[in-house]
Amino acid sequence: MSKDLKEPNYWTSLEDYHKIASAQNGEFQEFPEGISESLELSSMTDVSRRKFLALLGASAALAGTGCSNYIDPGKIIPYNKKPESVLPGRANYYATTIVEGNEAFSVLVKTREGRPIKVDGNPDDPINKGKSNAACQASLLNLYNPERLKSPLQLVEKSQKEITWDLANKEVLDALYKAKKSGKQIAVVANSIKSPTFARLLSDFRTKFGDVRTYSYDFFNDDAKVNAWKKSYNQSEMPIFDWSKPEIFLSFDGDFLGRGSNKVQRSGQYVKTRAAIDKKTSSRTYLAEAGMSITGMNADYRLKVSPIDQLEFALCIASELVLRKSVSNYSKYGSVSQLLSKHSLTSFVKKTGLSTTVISHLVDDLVQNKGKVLVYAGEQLPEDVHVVVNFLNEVLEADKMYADDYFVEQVPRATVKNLESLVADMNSGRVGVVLHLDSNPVFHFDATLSYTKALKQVDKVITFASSLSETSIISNIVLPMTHDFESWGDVNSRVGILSLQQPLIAPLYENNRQIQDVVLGWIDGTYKAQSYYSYLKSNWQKSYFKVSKDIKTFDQFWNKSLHDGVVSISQNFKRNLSFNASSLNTISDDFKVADGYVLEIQENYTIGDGRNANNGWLQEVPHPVTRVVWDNYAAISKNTADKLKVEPNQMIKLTVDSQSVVVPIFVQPGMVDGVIEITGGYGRKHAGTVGTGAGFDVHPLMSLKSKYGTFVHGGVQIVKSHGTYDVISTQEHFSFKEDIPEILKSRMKDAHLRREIIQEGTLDGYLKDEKFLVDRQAHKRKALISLYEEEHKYNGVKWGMAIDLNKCSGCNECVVACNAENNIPVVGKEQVALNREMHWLRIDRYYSGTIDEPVVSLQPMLCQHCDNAPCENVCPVSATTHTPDGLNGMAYNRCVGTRYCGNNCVYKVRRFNYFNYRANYEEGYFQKESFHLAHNPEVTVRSRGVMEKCTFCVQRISESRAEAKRNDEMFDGSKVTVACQDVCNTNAIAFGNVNDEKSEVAKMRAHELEYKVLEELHVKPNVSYLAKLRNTHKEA
Amino acid sequence: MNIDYSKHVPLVEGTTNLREIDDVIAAPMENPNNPRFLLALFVSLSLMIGCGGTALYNLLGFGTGTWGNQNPVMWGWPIVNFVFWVGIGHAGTLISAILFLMRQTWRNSIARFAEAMTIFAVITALTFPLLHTGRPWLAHYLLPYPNERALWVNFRSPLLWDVFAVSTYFCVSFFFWYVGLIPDFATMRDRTTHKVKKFIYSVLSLGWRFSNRHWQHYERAYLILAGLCTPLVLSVHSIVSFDFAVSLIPGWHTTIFPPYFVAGAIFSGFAMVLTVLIIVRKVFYMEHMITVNHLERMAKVLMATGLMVGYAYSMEFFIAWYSGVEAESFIFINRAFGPYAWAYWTMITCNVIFPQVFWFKKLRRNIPVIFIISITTNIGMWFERFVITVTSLHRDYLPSSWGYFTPTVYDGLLYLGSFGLFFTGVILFARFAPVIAMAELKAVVEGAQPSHHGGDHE
Repeated sequence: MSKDLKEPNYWTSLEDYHKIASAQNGEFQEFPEGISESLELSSMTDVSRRKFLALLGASAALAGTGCSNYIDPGKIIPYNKKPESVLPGRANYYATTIVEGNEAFSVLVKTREGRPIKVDGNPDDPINKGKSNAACQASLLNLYNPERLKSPLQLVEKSQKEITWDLANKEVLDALYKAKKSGKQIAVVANSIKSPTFARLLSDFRTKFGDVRTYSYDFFNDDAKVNAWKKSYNQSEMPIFDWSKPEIFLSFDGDFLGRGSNKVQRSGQYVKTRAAIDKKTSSRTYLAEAGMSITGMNADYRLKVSPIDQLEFALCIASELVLRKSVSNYSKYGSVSQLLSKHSLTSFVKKTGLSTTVISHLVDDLVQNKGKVLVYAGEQLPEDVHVVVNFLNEVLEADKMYADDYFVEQVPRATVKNLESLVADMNSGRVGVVLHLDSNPVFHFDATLSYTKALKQVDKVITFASSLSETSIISNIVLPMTHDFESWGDVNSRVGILSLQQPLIAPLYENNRQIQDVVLGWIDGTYKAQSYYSYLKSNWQKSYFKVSKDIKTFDQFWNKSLHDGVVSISQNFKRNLSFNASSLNTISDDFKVADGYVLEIQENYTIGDGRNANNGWLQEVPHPVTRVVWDNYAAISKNTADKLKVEPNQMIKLTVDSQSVVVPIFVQPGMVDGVIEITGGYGRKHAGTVGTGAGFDVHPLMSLKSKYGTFVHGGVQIVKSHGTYDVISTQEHFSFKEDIPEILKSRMKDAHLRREIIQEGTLDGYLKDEKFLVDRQAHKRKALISLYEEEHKYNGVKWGMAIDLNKCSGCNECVVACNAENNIPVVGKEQVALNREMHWLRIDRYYSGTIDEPVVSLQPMLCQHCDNAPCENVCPVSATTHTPDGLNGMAYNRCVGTRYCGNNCVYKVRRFNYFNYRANYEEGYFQKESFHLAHNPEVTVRSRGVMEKCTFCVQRISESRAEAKRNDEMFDGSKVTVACQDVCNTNAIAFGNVNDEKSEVAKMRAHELEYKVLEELHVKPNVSYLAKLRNTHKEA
Repeated sequence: MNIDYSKHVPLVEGTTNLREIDDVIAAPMENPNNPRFLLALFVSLSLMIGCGGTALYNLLGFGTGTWGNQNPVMWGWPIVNFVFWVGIGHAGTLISAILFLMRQTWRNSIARFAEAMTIFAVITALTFPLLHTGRPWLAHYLLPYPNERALWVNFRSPLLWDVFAVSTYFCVSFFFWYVGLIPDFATMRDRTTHKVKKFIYSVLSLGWRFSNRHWQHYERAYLILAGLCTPLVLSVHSIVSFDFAVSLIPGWHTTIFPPYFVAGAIFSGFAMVLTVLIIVRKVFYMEHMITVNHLERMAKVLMATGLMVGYAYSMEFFIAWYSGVEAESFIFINRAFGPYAWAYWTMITCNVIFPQVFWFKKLRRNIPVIFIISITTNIGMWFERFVITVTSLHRDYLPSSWGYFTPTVYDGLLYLGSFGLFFTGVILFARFAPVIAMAELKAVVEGAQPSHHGGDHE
């Protein structure tokens, strides 16, 4: 190689070309001598300007750090021993199962750096198909609850002291052996048991300790329904309807879109029957109810029927169908026709004042749609109603609509009789040990069964609890248990479907142990962590593993099951759908009503049987109808209130038999006169900072011997009590205000319709004129003139949302999902009273019609990400600006909190941090360390003085965009979903790129039923709504 | 019609002795430890520190939530108070600048005091937008200063216009006030024998020697500043009104706002000047310099602006009905008949009905009546701002978010504290600077003007 070739054949300057030495030095030194100097103090003899400045800066910095009150924030440990599969900044998803009341959800949990931060339904789950409910979403707060029990407790002289597990186990074993020796009963009181492996473990427990009896119960349960099914079909497994098949729904006080087991799956199926973007037919729903429920808000026809009249109403319908319309040949059955002939729909309608037109529509629809009708009754109604409903379904040939899907119980649920005999045994000293497995019977049955008194006669009361409860504080031994996310387990609540539960995080508190591990320890004599894991695996190997084409070994099977979360297995099961007409014979049709009011205790929509009372997210979710937070109340009609001469918030005393409670009044439009509706589960006395004292305990009223079942009572006495109580609602109803000047009243009534915030039509009208809404909007749209010749073009991706009001049931699950995704704080009842709730997403509920027969319209309302956002131009510091992809962005760090944006937002969806809410609520309860772990690390935790609002889950958009970039893909936005959309049981929310014509949101925006709220202001919102079509008859 | 009142009504009663004018005006500065002064200072300082301090402690310690502000009504009392105080700050400049340009020499005896009130009212007003933000410690974000993050302010926001309008107004008013004070500071310098005072007044008077040349420059400068101030009188409150008018909220989104706000500002400013002057002339024995004639003229202005405001109120209603916009017409009906009707009718009574008494000469020369009306006008104008801010917000477009705003005790304490701040400033001013422009007043005393016709003007 010649020397010349080594010479550079390029040059940057003439000096370079001529190889001038100083210039060549300059190549390595960006700045000439003297311009940059090293900060070497010894060489700084003469102080140049630069040196002086450098010294000045350095000494100021030194002084600054030297004097500051520096607090060591702790160690930052690098992942130099990185757990397998955990990548900092990347989320991992694990399938597990949450058991909530009498329902289990297979869920997919998002974890970041080893901590669960978001729960969503498992998309592989054949039941709920990736959907979940508010309680699942909020279970994170239960996991990170700083008030979880952290050590076993022993009751010593009226106070509970912390003890070690060794001592606790010894105490328990002593008690168990003592009971076994003396032949006393060991009672296990649990909520309904869904786990087949746990059921097996309990039978092992029984083998070891003798007379072990399991009493499993659910406070809100479908016992009446199951018992009725047993009566009618001689089979305890109840089939599940495929709710996507019927064309006519008739529900007797059954809030099928809001309450009851299976709500998530059911509402998903139900909306498929409703008119939608590409479906021009719709089912029709008739609902007979007393209080206003979610289904009541959505039903095409809502009939006001008292819960004690439901049986008669059902019988009258049956009589009309069978005897008068001869829908089936059951009239030939002597006993049936004898029963039915005593009832006449006409006289029932006359008695209750129902609309004869609506009733005749109902009867016609039922007759004409035989085979496509589904009749349903609320779980709170007594057995007899369900028997008649079974009969009606039989008459109307609803059996075609049964899905091949059955509920199954692992341990038969205790009946009322069982519980009564348990209490009797306890009282007579025949029970040695009562073992509560995360159940709270003291709260549920104290008044009705005198359960606390009976517990005193038991030698040892042992309670597994995750946190303080009414039961735990009077137990001799309290054992701290793990959360679902820290446990192993399995669930089999449907025939043929198993789901697995796996721990996602090591127990947060080292002393918390899994119930099953502890029980296994009692059986084996020594506790071993994770022993249930092996027990579970071996049970699965024995019971469910079968070699198939793809799966050869058990490990393969197990790993696949863990990964998927759900497994289909073949379970031997014989379906029996032959109706036993003699079940009707036992119906007592004595409709004599005791004097007084009727009380209906309903399942609440959020906190379950009280187990979630200490969950701030769930307490702060507004009631779907009344928008009341943090409380329950006695809902009565306006007429009843007038009759009682009470105002809202007045305390009243309700008396049933000998039991009475004092509750505040809430006037609910559309209530049946003379009926009081209260939700149960509230009024916990020992639940923790959040739950204690929220609401009123009405369980004493649930005397177990009511003629109408546990939840419905006649002959209730009401006395006005002293004082008032603030029932706080996030939304007042102005439509029915009485005491205001006429000029104002006329403008407040139906304001949402006058202002075209809600656009509605009937299916019939739509079919006649598909463009009716477009025509209605035309004048508005024509008037929207821009100053600019050409509007700003959004090239590439532009985000938008579309919400189908035909599908939205107003159930609020999305609100909790949004809380979890976006680190939204709990503000507490007092702050909600000041309208300072922080929810980014709310469901607006509007009443029209009259206070007696209200028509409800619902509308999810969130930031509309307007193209001409009024909030953006008024912010003096540009803290809220538009992004190139059409989002209305929010820079929290820049926000100084002038709140001008919030004022100028025409949708009032901006939320301001009036306080540092985490510190403000109950002296910093939500600021406790464990709650930090619940935060989504991708979303800023906002402090006081900052404005916030829906961001369209911008963190998910960014993540997806980064992912696309990494994979070198074109980013078209098709993979992005937002949190509210993910959880929406009815798929009412579509989100995506509106520039992509194939996207669902673009199709919905182009639909003729599409409208935007306050379009006339030319703010150009990007959330579209699809007008609701009610499927009523022409004249109605 | 060009009536020169100075021709017929003497502007200073009872004396033409120039020395006596100096003596009376300088008296509060030269006789310290007046017990009435100390009591007044004590009261205002305790309002400022006691009430204002408590409110501030809670505000800065816990957050904006200590006030009653809530979700539909995100602006509450602080903004009401801001507009209220800025409005009060309008009379000073109007009296000194516009009336000066119009050669209304009757202004000379009240201009100084009104200007001082402007300065302190604007200072008081400025505390509110500062404290009202969620994070007051970041208030500098509202200033367009170059920074390494390349963050810039949003020039489309009316709040930013506010920052410029109010600060410009403050600066110009301050210089105007100060330039007017220079000859008087020189007088004080010459009168005092106290060494420290002499030094301070010497510095403040900038070497003023009452030379002809000085006067010539002074008159020129004063005229120029008056010219500069005049548009500001109109612009500041116009821009404050843009905070509302530029928004989309029914009840705010109104083109009538700029003139309506300016009229209201003058209305409230004159009312406040009247309230304070009536006390000051009594306390400092200046009844012969600030005469009933002055008060009568101010009462006339008060009535005139009151009528303008009344016209604006009725016009708002007419336009709301005429526009046919549902939300717009609702908001006005709601103002008059809704839950805040009490505030609305308080406003109407105080601002439109009460000032009508000034149609009668007897009543507009009756000092107790003027005093009472000035107070009710202050109340009425505060309610006007309350009605505009709160009733418009509390029921806007979506009925789902309607609410009702109730102030908290901290709202009240901060408002009282703002009075403390204002009066502390005014009282200290009265103690250390001449409350009436000596030089200007001497210029309008009988015989002061050089004349070709022997004694009388011109």
